[in-house]
Amino acid sequence: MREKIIYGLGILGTILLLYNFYNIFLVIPIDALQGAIYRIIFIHVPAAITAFSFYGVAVFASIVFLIRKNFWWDSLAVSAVEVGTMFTLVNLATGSIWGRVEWGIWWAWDARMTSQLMCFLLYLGYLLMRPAIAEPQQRGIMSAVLAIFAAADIPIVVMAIRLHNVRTQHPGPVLETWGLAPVYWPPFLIGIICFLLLGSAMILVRLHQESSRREIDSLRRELHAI
Amino acid sequence: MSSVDITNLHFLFYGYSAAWIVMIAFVFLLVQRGRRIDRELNRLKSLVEDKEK
Repeated sequence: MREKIIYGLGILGTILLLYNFYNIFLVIPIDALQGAIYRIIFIHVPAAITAFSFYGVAVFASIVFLIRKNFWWDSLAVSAVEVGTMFTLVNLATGSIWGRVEWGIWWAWDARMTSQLMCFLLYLGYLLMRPAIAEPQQRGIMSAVLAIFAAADIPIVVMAIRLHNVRTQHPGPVLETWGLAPVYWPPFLIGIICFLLLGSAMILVRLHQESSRREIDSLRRELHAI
Repeated sequence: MSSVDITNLHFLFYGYSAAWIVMIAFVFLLVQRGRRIDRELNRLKSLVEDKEK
């Protein structure tokens, strides 16, 4: 059943992705100001939204773990963080490449980009910290606390381009101001759905690996006892 | 097609390539890790079975 869900999500995500590529590259017109490079937005923004959604899942799972001390929630948190961090990297890489064309520079240390880089580094730290703690209960608690702490950066990333007293190189918000032309909305929304489907499939794979890992730990303990 | 358009297309290609390289590399590492975990699990299961006999 688990494998069927994973394959289902993966196949559906891939089909939608191919359909979206067809739309992005062959159907919708080129942006008058930016030219072809604007098409990066259909990967760049969905990657960020997907990453933040998965970080949200990780925070929820971490809170439940701290309350119930059930390791399934810890596994869900680490799986979501890992996939979320991968999507954050996609967001940073595509943003940097877009910036090179539009601004002539690869990176600007403005509020949005710096806070997003910090978000990536905080969750990367989470992933690097886990193997360093051998005791599972302690590892789960420390990880949960770090996951919740790191999530405090997400509102900063979101608000960095919305505060009037913060000047950023990054473009202002277009989603809630409906600054995106109507023709760009379908590929944009389908892009988000694709990444959420593919990311969910990756989380399920990762979740299974974590449960196998716990089984390995208990078998090791059993072997020591024998 | 102007040189600006060509540069745009080049960087568009780099952008999509970077995204796919990151995602494919992640899936590849996920599969490799899964195989390693399965191998270790099977090894330990057979070890436990042997010790119990």
